[in-house]
Amino acid sequence: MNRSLGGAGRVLTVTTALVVAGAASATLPAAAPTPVSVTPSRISAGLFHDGGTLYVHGAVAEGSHVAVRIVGPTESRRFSRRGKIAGIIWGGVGQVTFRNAPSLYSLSTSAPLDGLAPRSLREQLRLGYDTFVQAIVVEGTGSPDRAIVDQLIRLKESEGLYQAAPGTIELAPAEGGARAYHVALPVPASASPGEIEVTVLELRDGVVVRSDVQSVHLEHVGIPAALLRLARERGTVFGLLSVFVLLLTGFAVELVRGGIVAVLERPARDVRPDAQAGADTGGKATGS
Amino acid sequence: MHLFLPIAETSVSVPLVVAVGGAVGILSGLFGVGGGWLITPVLMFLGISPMVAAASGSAAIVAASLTGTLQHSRNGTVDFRIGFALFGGAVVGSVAGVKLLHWLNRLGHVNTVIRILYVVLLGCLGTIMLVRSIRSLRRPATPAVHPLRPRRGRWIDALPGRVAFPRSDIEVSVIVPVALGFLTGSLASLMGVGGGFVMVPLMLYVLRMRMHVVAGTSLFQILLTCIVVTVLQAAENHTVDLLLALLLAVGSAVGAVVGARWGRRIGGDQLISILAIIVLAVACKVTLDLVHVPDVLLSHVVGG
Repeated sequence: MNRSLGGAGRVLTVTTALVVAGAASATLPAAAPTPVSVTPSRISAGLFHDGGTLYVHGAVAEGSHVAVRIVGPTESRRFSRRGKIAGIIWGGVGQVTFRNAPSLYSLSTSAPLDGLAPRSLREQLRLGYDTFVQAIVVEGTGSPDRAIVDQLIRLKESEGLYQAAPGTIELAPAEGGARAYHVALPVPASASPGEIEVTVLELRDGVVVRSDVQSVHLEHVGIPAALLRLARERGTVFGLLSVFVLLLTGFAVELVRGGIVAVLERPARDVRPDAQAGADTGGKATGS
Repeated sequence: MHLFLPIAETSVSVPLVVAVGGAVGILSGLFGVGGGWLITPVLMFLGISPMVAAASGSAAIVAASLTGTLQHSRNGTVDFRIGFALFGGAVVGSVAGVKLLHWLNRLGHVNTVIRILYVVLLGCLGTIMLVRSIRSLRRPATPAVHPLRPRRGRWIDALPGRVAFPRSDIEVSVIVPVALGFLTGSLASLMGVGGGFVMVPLMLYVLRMRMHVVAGTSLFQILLTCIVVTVLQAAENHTVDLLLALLLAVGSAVGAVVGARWGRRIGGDQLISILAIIVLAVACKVTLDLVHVPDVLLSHVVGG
């Protein structure tokens, strides 16, 4: 795991007290809101990167609920469609391209979605898969778009890139009119680099009473970044470099192998003169 | 400890991949085969895309086959002349294989084709090996028969452009090694294998090379072929994961030493029976993956 906690300047903290309805704001407690903490602010995917975890801490007013939404940069990606071939095997039957799909999406809430906000508000806030699938553009498919988008969601879920977990955030017992929450959200190693938007929403009686948006920067660094850049931009040079490195490895391994074999065979060589001496003396032990 | 693989777009457990390389190396040391045929399917089982698995597998063989070639070269058991003739064909075969792979990838059929090729190749190879080893185990021991029994009137002997290869003690049309090289070059590109398990019998039974130069020359030709395939895969398909190949190469090199030592303690027929069962087990697993209803009807397209 290779994470950096630096780069505080890159954190875009946009704390906006959304007073959606006057009645709602009137019910807010007088206590000052606890600031939302999202750490780390930067994830560096270096040589030993095995994904990261985003930790979100904060507190909501008593009677409110919280929703934490993570959205990665949108991407355009080709996939192979799998179908039955010759009635026996499952294999590629064509390609499909998804445009404008988030590369990473995670939603955790402290209450079921229906109880959190009305559908129109959930769509506006992109709370749940249903609220963003309409924006995904599908190219090159023979089947209905929604069915193939569902397959995309299942694939991304299996890779840990999409997650919807309503009602999984546990709010702590009230203390000073506020209930604390702690959320740990995994960011898999296969997540695309770019800005990850972390949105924390405080909802009460179906309206947003507070929202906090922070940005976490995910980037490839070090050897993986250099290799990826070279492989994509100068494939032939990358291939020649790979061969050179592997030939060097082969030479090094041969040297080491020679050493290992010498060590392993040494006892046999050391024993042989005695054995030979035994043989020379008619197999009798010579004693010591 | 995990290592982030930028081309495969995932992280892998270093001990696990080195262990995979080590297991392949042990088999390679035990049975005298390259092991590329096992690397690609095992990487696929670990969730690496078949294209990256095949390209990185052939890259890993560069290191492994170099160590083998160096050892044989020291013993004077490499026929470099015929090795280069085989390589001539392998270059053309590699280019054809990589282009075919690129085209299949664009159509979305590449993963299926690689899996089907593995089922056919491993299924045939495993069955032949198992049948032969069972027969030999049942028969009483007979004096070893040299495989190069002279047989006159082969159509291969009538081909033009005959060239002498003194170290292999043969004179054959240059078309034959070039054609055989083409075959292994194509296999290396499509399946990430060195092709030793195909090349060795062809050298013995088609080219009729002297027994003691076959293994070394096969390794030398595999080395050259895999160098070309690695560069082509990187240039055309962008699917060579150098870090993955390095882990596999280190593991397999260590495993090969261990395997070679174990091999001295086990009889030849028993070894072939065990290898045949492993080959058939891998073929069965790949077949199951092909016929089993997938959980998700999408898979990633990499490189290109």
